[in-house]
Amino acid sequence: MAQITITVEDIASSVPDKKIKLLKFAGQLDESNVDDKAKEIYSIIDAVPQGLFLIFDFEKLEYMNSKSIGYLTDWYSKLSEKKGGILIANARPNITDILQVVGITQLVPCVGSVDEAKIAVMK
Amino acid sequence: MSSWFPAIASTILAAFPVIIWIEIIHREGEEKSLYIKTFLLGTLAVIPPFILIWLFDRYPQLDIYSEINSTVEQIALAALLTNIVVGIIEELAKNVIVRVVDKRHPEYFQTITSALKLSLCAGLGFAFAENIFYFYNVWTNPSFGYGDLFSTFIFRSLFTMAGHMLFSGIFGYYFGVGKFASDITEFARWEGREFSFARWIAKITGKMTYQVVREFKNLTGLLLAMGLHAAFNVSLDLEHKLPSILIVVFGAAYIAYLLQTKSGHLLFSIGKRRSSTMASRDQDVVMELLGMWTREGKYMEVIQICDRLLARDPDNNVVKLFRAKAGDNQELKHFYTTLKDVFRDEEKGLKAAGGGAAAQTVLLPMQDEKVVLELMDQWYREGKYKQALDVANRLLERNPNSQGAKVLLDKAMDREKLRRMFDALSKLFTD
Repeated sequence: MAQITITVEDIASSVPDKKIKLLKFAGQLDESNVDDKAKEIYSIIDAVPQGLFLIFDFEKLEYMNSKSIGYLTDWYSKLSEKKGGILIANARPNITDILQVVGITQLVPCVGSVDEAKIAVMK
Repeated sequence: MSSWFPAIASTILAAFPVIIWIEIIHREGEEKSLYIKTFLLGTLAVIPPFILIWLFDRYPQLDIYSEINSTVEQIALAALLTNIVVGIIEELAKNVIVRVVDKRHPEYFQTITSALKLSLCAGLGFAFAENIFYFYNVWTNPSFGYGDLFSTFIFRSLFTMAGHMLFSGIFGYYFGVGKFASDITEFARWEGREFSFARWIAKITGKMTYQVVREFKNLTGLLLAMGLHAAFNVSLDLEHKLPSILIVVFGAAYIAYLLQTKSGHLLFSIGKRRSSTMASRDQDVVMELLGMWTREGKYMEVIQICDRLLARDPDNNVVKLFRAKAGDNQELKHFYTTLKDVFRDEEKGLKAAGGGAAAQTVLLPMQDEKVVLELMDQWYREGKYKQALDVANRLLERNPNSQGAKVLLDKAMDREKLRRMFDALSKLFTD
């Protein structure tokens, strides 16, 4: 079973109606763990009624399978409905490559660092 | 009168429908010479059955037909067994022609549709050669008159020729699928199909799974062709024309459907392929996602991903297949949604009218009208005139100025009248 850890941090927001959380991924998201981890992320999304922005720090994410991309689009849809969103930071070239081909980068901005992501959210 | 005259005249008679059928098969931009060559080769497919007849004549102990007739008492069973043999021999002969053309000119078979169309031509060639003998026999037999010749000409040019073409066409489709089995099997694997039996056979025989799938497809096509051929002949031998007519009508509709699928027209890259600019493991993730979203019915997303992936891996046949299938499925989905909307809106309209309020006609948007017209056109071409008529009437209630609906309504009405007349006639024959 592949290892994946996701740590969640709250980030102070200067915009009152925006709530920001930083999720740091380390390891590999694959068939063996993606469903369990997805549930955790759904519970984070469900806990905030409006304006939640998630910054996914993919610096230490080595691999994501197709199912995790499916979940990513679903999280994006759920958050968009609640006037929130997702930003991806620090993704490795291979993961950015996959996300670009799949077209996720047209919906979810991919930026070079967590700081850039924070600035983008607070605009 | 010279003894050659009936032979020449029969050949000319048999050639008339060929010209029309080839025109129907041929599409602008396609090389007609390919069809003509395959048609001519198809005429050679009558040789093996004639050799067999000659052999049976010379060595009666080998004559399987008289063996069946002398041992089987039930007429229907004897007809069935005889025609199974006929189906096997004739379809095998046509099948060999298709395989020979593919072996000599693999460049002719670059799409499933081209395999199907060339098989249609091989079947046409066989039917043409067979027709010459039938016309000649009727012409030279003093017990038949010109009326018999005319009815034989009409029936054999329309139904028997169409029958031979569609039996071969069905084989051709499976032959095409089998030809590209390597890509099609991989595509199916990404879609989540297991091929357990084929894998097991491959393990036993030491072949690749796709090679086993190819043989399965060829065998399926051949068995279907033989089965339909036998059923068609049995129906005629027992003088029940309706089943044979139904076989031809439904078979033709199926062939027409296969001919217009996007996946059928997909040009498979053969020979040297350009390599992908995406890492193999990453591409696998995308392929897996394509399979997943195809199963979930996210066809638009699949098409978009395929377009982006093809920019990175232009010769990937599996991605092309995903795109083509998604296109086909998207169209079907659109048809159903639009139709559902038409029915739902109509129901609403009826309820409003029933409630005493003046029912307001809501115009169907032009885009949706186009979809409905396309469906009607498809039904019209498939011979589903009644359905086309119903929808045309409903569409005209919504969009009274729709020229397309008016034209199709008129055409469908004419055809429906003809169909009813034909049904009545065939009932008369059957009774």
